[in-house]
Amino acid sequence: MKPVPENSDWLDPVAIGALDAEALSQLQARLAHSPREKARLEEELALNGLLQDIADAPLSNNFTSQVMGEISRLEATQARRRSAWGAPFRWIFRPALATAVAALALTGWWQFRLQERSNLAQSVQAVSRAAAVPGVEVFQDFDAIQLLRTSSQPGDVELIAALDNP
Amino acid sequence: MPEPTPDPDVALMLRVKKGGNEGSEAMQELVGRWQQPVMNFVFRTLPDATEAEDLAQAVFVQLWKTAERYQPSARFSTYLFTIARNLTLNEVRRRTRHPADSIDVTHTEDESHPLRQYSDPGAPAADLVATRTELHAKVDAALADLPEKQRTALLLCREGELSYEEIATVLGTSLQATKSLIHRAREVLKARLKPYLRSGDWNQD
Repeated sequence: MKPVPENSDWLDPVAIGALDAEALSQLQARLAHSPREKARLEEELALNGLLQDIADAPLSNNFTSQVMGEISRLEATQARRRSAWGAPFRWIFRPALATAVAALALTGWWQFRLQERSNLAQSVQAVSRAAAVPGVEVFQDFDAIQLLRTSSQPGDVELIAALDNP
Repeated sequence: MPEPTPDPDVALMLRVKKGGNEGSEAMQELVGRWQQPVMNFVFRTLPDATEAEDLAQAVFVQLWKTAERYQPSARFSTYLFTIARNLTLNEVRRRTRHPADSIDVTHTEDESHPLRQYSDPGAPAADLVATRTELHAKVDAALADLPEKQRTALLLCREGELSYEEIATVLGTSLQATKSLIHRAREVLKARLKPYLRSGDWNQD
């Protein structure tokens, strides 16, 4: 026997008809003192009655045989397809599949190697470009050279003029 | 706490998964047990008996096709109605895009598998409408007017006897959202069918 739900929790099980006759009569007895709840329960039960009472849909007598016939046809089709395609090629199917998988793996490995070589070549190129750049020691007299370019002493000017006009 | 009862349909589905003659027998048994609930479920969304039946058959064919991947992690009905709902929604979407197309894609004229036979030789949908009481028609109309998720949630209670958790799984919603869907659907139905609920007509058939 299913337990009778407490308080208004009775609505959910009643709505899906989950209470057996004994649980239902207990519930009716429990709600007897509350006319409002009792009327509500009666209405829910009446609706259940209406829904249970609707007519079954028309069904042909040979429904099952039609379904089984359709299934037999499908089985026969599948069997034919298997024998038509499977028999001549069955012995070759597994080796062909294995070859295809191996070829795919080899192609993948080859692509990986190519990519790896290409990356290596790019790295070497970058390193050799960096090696061609002069060392930092060439910049050690940079400040002095810069100073020579920007400042001209009066003595230097006279010396240049004398050299120009001997 | 008592051990939960093993779902006999799960055992059948596992036999279907194994295949062979035993699988065929199990499949036949499953179809026999669930054909009416699945048909009822599909018919409330596609209210054309012929097309609903084609779709219901497609549900079982799909069940057979997916048997190889089946894992008994939930009740069988949850699995079955998930397929049913997905196929029904696909069909509704397809019809929205191509309104003139028929659903009949699975059947061919074959003497060994004759087209459907009804016990009543008349048009089944017309007969159903004619014999259905006014009350049934009102309930059907009220159900048909519900949003898809609300209607599906209610039908899963009726046809699959699913719990809230299982309905949530089929709908792909949270438990709380599922309770809310069912609550709202029932409120709408109660409002529309109030006179019948009050008079107790539902109990007089």
